[in-house]
Amino acid sequence: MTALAHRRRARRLATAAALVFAILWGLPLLWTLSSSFEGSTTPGSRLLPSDPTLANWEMLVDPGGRAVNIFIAFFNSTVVAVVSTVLALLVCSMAGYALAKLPFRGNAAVLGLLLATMLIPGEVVLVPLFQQFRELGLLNTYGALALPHIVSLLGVVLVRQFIVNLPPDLIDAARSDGANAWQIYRYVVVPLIRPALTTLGILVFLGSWNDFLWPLISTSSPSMQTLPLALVTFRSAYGDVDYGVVMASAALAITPPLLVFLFAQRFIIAGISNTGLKG
Amino acid sequence: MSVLSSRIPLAGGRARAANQANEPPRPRSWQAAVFLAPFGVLFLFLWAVPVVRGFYLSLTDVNVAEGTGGFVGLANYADLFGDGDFRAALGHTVLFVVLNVPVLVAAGLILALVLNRDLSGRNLLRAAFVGPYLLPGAAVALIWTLVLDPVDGSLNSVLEAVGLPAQQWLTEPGQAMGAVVLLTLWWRVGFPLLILLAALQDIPKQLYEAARIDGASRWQQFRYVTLPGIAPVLGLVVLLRLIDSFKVFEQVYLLTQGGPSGSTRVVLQMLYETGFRDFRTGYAAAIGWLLALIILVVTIVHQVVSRRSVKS
Repeated sequence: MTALAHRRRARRLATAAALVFAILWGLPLLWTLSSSFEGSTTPGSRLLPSDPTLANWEMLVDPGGRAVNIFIAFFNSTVVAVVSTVLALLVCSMAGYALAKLPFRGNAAVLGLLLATMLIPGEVVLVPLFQQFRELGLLNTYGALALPHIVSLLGVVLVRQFIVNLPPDLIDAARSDGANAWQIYRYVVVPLIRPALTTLGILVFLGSWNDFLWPLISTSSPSMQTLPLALVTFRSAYGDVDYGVVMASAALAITPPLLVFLFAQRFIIAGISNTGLKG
Repeated sequence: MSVLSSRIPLAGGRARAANQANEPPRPRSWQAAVFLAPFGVLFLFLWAVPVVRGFYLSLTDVNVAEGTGGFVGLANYADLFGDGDFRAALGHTVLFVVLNVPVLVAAGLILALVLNRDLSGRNLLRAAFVGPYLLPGAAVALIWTLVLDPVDGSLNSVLEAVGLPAQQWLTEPGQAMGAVVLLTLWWRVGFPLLILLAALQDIPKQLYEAARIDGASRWQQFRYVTLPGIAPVLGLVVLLRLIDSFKVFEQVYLLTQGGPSGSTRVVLQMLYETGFRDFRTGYAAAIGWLLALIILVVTIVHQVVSRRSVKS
């Protein structure tokens, strides 16, 4: 009995300690949310706004001719993230399927090339990539913002691995029934690899939504800014004057990733735990 | 028809060939080409060509703004070794790596060990630590600028509440890097936490039971069961954090702009400013390649060391 009671107490203690840290971890986000409803202009660390108001959010919605329109940036970020995600899923799953199931000479070489390229940090290609987009006149376009996110090397490897591990019977059965490669891909493989595609889709969406350096390099026009860039412009415009508005803009930028997390936690946890992805 | 050829096991063919004899007709290779084409074209345009061009650019003194420049051989690399700015930036980056990697991995391991226990509300706790990992660095930096504000910031309020002196944080050269490491810990700890938690859960429970029957203490269980069980994953986490930390940029750039007085300017910030503010394209490309080379060397050293420690 005493041993059991002892263990229970230890468990309660560990839970309490973890809870304290978890709350500490959540505090900056709570402050952000609370400050976005703060009417008083003096910054401070209150858990609840001292003078609650919707004015900060209204200012984001209706910029009234101010230089920075956060909602245009929000729209840009959404377009780029959604387009990148949809195209990455299509392009990477097709390539992964080919590498897993369609025999061709050089299969191993292609896979080796992909794995070798994964060792090269993307920062190496920043300068030449900028050059290429510049030569094609694609700077300041959605194309420039989205394209680099579509080619997910890890995505192809992930999808290929998932398809290789599928039981071969289903695909063989479809092939015996006379299904061609496209039909097998579309009606057999894609439905079976949904978990892998969900993980990849979330990764590409977040990668695109959160990206800072590439939009910073590939856009110069304010109307093409994505949300992370607009946050910076916004802060230098209002940071000293109206801190509630700045926090509202930060709250706006973190809401979509947190929503994704809320609804797809299982996939995100599995994605990071199993593949060690994307740091 | 390929149907025929695939049904005939080649002389000296492997066992695989025998299995293939029972398989239905196999698709032809042009189909593979069609399925690979969209990715292949993008891969060429966004990876293969830029990697080669980047290396060529690093051998030139091209300036895009002025449209000048030509081949200079390895001069950029030679210049970089003597460039005080680059050496300072590399020093700050290495300092960040040396502070950030142990802090992040140790914190991730401790949190994983705690969350691996039978706690109430474990998923909620885990979510609190993983949530920040998914957020844009620009928003995180913005939030932390206010958290770290010396006068009104919440961190100083907390310090004062528990009787510790308020700090300057971002305006104090000695503290700014510490503040960056603190932010990075908050932002990124979910990653080592999740991977290590998964590794901990993969250790068979029977090993702990056996150790307990043998009278092993908690520390001995950790030392002889837990640690060997997660060692390969721990090594991987360290490597991934090393690589990522060498590429540190946005949180530093947005939190301190490299200051105060240049004390937190890192390699990638120098690359950005050289290439996209001063438009010294060739020099910036060389910085990119040198950074990649450093990361490659670190990866190789890590592999050699971890292989050797597996043997011993």
